[in-house]
Amino acid sequence: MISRDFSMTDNLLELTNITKTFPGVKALNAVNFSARRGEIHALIGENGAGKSTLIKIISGIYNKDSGDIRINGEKIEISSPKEARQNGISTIHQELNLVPFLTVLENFWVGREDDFTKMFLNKQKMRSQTETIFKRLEINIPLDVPVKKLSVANQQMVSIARAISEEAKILIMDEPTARLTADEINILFSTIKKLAEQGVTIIYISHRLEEIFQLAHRITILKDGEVQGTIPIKEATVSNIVNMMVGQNYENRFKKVQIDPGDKVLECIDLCDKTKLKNVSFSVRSGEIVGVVGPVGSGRTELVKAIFGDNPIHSGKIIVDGKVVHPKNPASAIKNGIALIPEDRRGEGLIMHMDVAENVTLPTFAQWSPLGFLRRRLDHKIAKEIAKKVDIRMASITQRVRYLSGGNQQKVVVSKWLVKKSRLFLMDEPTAGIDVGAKAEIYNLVSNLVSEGAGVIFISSEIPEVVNISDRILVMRSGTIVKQFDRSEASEEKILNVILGGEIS
Amino acid sequence: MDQKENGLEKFFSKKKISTNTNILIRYSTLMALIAVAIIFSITIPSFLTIRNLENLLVQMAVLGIVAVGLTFVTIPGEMDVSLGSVVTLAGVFAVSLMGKGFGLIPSLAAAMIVGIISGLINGLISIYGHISSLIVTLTIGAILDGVSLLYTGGYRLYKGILPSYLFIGTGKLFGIPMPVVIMFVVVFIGFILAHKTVYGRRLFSVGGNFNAARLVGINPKLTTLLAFVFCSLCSAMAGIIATARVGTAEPFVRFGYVMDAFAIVFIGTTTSAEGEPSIPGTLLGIIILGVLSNGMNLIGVPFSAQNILKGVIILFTVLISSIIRNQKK
Repeated sequence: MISRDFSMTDNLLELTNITKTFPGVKALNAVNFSARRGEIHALIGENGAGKSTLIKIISGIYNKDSGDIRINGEKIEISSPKEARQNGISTIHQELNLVPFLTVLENFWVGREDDFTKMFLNKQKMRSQTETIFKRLEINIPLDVPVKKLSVANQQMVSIARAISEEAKILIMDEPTARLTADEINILFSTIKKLAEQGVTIIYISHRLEEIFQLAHRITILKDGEVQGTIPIKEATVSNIVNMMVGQNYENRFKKVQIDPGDKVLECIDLCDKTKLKNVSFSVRSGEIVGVVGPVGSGRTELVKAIFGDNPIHSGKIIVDGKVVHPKNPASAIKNGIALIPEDRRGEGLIMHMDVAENVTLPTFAQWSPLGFLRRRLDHKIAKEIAKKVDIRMASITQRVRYLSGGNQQKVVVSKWLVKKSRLFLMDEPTAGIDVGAKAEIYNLVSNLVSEGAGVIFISSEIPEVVNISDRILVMRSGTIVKQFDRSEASEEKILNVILGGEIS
Repeated sequence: MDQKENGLEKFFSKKKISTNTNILIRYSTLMALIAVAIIFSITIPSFLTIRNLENLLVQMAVLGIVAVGLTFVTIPGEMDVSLGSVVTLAGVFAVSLMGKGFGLIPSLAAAMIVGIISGLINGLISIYGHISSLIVTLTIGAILDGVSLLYTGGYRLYKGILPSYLFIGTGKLFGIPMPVVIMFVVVFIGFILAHKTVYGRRLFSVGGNFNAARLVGINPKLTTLLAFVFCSLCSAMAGIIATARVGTAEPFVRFGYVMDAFAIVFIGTTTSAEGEPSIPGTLLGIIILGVLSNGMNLIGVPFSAQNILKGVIILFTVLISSIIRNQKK
């Protein structure tokens, strides 16, 4: 497969000097990228490296600040997804854009039913065209079944086939295997290879190096918005890819305070849920920060939600402070001294139009209202104390949290569990979407938590910060812990190696 | 600390300006009320008399109580369009029990039980069945209407109404008509419950962010269910007053209540910075709708035209609160 030689073929897609700046961040800096006809070109990089910004520019969701996009050597402007499609660029997103209750056939033509006639549907023609394309891709999916009854893999196939029927020349696939089983991945791969042989260019984004080695012709590595290099797969090794992804420039190195760990605050034994988690066993001691890393869909969030009673457990045990608990809902987990700082701060962590005091006292205000009447002055007093302690920068305690910066909002989320005096903090991506200075403050906050005897589970997609802050690091893949690192032996390279599917032992 | 707060206050002053423009929108409702009241006072001689104002409040009492209940359902973002049917059915039950020789207390209790059961049915089906409360309460309303008609055979009930029952609708306490007294008591209880209790804070939290409320240990479903029950209880109480005022119970549907109660709550939302329902807002809505209806009646605006005007007012207020909310985003 790899043996095909592309040196003679011209570039179908060519990006030169693409730059994109978001407020405060240079997401892409003078990026050069090219893909040839019939090539499977993998795009790889850590979270925040600029992969999604790049594909969003190619697919017309973002507009570039500067730089050129050429297709077949001809300079074009792509300012909307529609223009991208007109230029033969189609994107298969992680979230598939199909209408669940329409059939496969209807989904295939939705939005372009008038391709054949102006008024009445020409079902005959729609059906025969769909069948032709399915045959070409060797897809075997019934046309009259509602899409919601298909597996994720088959839904993906429908999306791919639809893109092909729109005469896509360039197909961008964003983590297409994140939700597929091993067998489904094999089928997907043979389809991808078939498409490439038929001359379709595929830009393939994945965290899993093993897949890329199976599939890709070339790899482009992005880091901090810059291209680190494009290498043919023949010359690539896991270690040189990882080296290019990592680099050596972390600013704001956080000084870890070593604390002697105490008793186990949490122990999970063979934890399984209905869908994702498979036999997860680990423990957290008081005074300990346990980092959890793993690709999207590896079950990190499901794990903390299971401990927090928000994801039903199928089998296995959760032991909190030496006692077996059965958290049926968040309320019972909270009673056991557990706190969740959810990944989706706005959607799950805060009530945006309520004020700081109301948010900070939300888990606790009922405690000091024995007769059921609010004690607003006490709310304010307690909220003020905690806001001073964690340094929430706000106009006043009655400012609505919507107007706070991301970092200060996150401090509000943590504060409410400080008031509750929780002993185990489950932090799901606590530093996502906040600026560097605020990140350092969150690290200090976490540090203070453990020095006061709490245990912390710290989930993050940013491996350097996990390496810096954690006493131990768990690496998760497809719902299970595949490797544990002690602080002394952990390094970004080793962890990346495991995440990307290198050797586990 | 104080100094620091002052510094930051200045820093955030930009946002203060935008809040000021909102205050203009927020108080526009109140100012509109004052303007309308002044115009009516000048143009209609009989408007600003104690007798008319008393009349106005009595006219609004039944609807006001219904609207306070509806406010609770709208705080977590739900709806109840069965409330008119609950008003009817509760009144029918109370009056019919007296007709069968039951005393005051059992009759009132029967009406209240009608309220509690309707609220439970509405809430349980829409919350635990994951069905839009609009659809659920619309259907339950139709069923309740059917029960009223079936139970009465379509006839008006007036037999056996006790004088003590009539007192609820026509009597006076300290010179104030009973319906008005009860309405203000309900408004007061509603205010305390929504804005001064743990339950109220929870209800607003659920309305603000269902998932965030759940993840701090609040039971959002139970909280919402109780709001449905409170709403239907208010409607049942309104049903008692409505039948006690006229001395008969009619098994006829009161669609007007639904429309007017929503108008009141929507007018109320325009007074909140976030476009949220609130009891003070609802009180303002009661008075505004009361003044408008009363004024239009005095001028002699035909009933049909009044409906058109009310519809326009609802659309207008919904538009305002939508603008407020979008500005905040």
